[in-house]
Amino acid sequence: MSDEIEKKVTTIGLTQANHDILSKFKEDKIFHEMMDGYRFAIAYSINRDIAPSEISEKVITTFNVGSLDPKNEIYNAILALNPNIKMPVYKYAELLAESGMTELAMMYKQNSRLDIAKIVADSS
Amino acid sequence: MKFLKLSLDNFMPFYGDYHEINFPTDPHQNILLIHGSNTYGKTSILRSIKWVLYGRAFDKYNRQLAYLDLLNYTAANNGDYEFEVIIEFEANNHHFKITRNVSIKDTIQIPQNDSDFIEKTYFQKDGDVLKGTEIVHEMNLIAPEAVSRFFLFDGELLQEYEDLLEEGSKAGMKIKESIEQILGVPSLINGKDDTSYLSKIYRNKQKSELNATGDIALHIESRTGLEKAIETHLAEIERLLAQSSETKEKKEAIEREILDLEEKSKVAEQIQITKSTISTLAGEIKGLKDKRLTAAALAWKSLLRPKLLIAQKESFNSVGNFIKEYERMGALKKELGLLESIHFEHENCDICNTEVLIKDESSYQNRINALKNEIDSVEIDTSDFSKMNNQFDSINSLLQLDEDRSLKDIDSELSNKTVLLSKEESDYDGLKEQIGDGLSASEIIVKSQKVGSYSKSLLDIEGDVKKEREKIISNEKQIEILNKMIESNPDSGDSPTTKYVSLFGDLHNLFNDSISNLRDELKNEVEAKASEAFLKLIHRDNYSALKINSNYGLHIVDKNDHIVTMKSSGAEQIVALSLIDALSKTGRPSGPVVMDTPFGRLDPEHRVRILEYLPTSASQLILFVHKGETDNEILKKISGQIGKEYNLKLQDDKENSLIENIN
Repeated sequence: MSDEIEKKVTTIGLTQANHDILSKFKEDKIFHEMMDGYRFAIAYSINRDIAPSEISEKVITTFNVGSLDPKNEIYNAILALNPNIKMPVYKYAELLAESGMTELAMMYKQNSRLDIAKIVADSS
Repeated sequence: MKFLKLSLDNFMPFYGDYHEINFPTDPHQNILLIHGSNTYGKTSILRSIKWVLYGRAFDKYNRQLAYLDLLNYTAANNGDYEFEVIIEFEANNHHFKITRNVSIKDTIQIPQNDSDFIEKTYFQKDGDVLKGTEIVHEMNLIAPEAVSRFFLFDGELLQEYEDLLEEGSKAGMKIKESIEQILGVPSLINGKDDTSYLSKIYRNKQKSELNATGDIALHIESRTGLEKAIETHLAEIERLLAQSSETKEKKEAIEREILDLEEKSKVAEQIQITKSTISTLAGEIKGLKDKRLTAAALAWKSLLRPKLLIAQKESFNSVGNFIKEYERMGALKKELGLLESIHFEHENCDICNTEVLIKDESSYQNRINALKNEIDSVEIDTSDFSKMNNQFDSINSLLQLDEDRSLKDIDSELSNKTVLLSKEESDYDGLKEQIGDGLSASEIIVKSQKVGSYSKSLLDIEGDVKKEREKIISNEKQIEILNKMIESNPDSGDSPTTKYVSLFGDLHNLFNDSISNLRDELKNEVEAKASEAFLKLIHRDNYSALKINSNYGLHIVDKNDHIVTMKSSGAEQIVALSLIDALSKTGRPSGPVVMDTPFGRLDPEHRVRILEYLPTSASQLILFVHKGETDNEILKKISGQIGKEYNLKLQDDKENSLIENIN
């Protein structure tokens, strides 16, 4: 993937429903910033091998990738784990975030809480 | 006396009518143990026994409890205002059953005070119902109420007995009054009063019978004057005693208020401590929440780690494989070069001059061809290596990320602290409720000053009463002299009335002396019995006896007949128990002893001794114990003597208690 194409992806986000859930996570003090929850959703998808699918609904632009990933850690991780990726890395990150958030939202609705300590403990 | 069965219905924390205790009747297994945590109803059972036997129960300040205090709270809430206690016991070869029942009057909807209730008591002796004075008479024969505090007592009472050793202490005075009641020999006092009355009647008769002239007339006139003076002194004593009683009541009321205020003051202190704990916990929780949010911000890195570790391993293998292939290629090329550098020199045969073929040359050629083919078949792109290497480095550096694995620990600590905070907050609310409108420290000071002033008044009254009594004694002595003078005067003759005057005067003196002699004898008896119990209970060889003091308190005496001044609190408790044991046996025949949490400050050695001694001294030993008082080792030692065992539990609603038979 050329740097030029990569550079075109400067903002990424979530669909309205998942955006609202992420906003609720912040309200419930599960995460201090919505960005923390967004990164968590990306990593959750990767950890659970959730295959990202195309987003059919409109994505609300939420985060600037420079703020989301200032040290390119997410970028490098995705690339390291998917060296043959065929789309811009941050576009892929957005798909991962959307899928991850959908699952986290389901968990949150079922239990009325999100136990991220348990999710982390179960991750290895 | 032996208790047989106690049944409770809606009495204090025992909701419903199914609460029963069967007492052990085997003399060799005469211990009844009732286990229960604080507030589970141990003291309520003790109160139920006192109440059913004597119709009165008291709180810890010795204030009589009202019916509404005795009625179960849940029952009252459900509109059931009836409660009942039944006790069955045997004494003096008779079977007794007392049923005390309290219910609401028909005209009352919701009771407000005792006058809204009716109390009914059924006292049965061998099945026959007794009434009124018969009941009092029977109870006085079996176990007079004044003695009950020595066989139905709670651990807190021990402190009062220890106070007896302190001359003139407040609690000591109260106990002294109770002991005086037992040792006060009412029949002798009645005899003294009766003879005094008869003496007076015959003196009046003598006055009218004798045609008094001369000296006799003068003596009789003087005696009449003295009699009037005695009446005045008696009236004054009566007035002073009424004043004293009124002052005592006022003083006690204020003392109770002070106790309440002191308790409030303790609660206020506790509120401050709880408030500070709440504030500390709230701060800690806030800190933990912040820490948690920081950890949550890095949690995504922990989620990536397992996948990165797998990728690291795969990447490492790829780089390794590439290097192996690269090395193999190098080796092939090296071999090819070596083979190609070999030069075969052909020679002709010396005989026929034909070219001689060099052995293995063709096989060398074959090898070279094979190597070339192999080398041609392998494609090594060094840029791949560079990519692989970069990926490996990238994964390694991602694995160095500053992740935070402490989330779970923080959550667990947060959860613990939140539970603690909630408990403290609930305690805080409870304490605030207890303290009500708050209190002022100056209030305690003002009330204490009032108590001081009442105490002074009481001492003054006591002094005045003493003076009046001395005057009466002096007057009586003068009357006695006058009587003798009248009797010895030939003009009084052999009048039977004069003889009666003399006889009742002598009898009155006899009763007076007997009262003080009997008191001394009983004190000696208490001292001897208490010493006997003490020596069996105490675990020290250098003590020889107990010595009774003017307050009926007891001092320990050592082998050299010296009073021991330095005592441990445990030793004082043993002294108190010895006194109780002696008093319970002095005022009545042997009976049961009921003790509520009596072992507070005793070491295990003394607990065992007491538990071994008391069942031999009492007909039954009923012990209410909480976990901290007796460990299993101690209970094992007396397990052979335990006839019955119960456990007090909370009911499901957590407000009421249950009596569970466990043995």
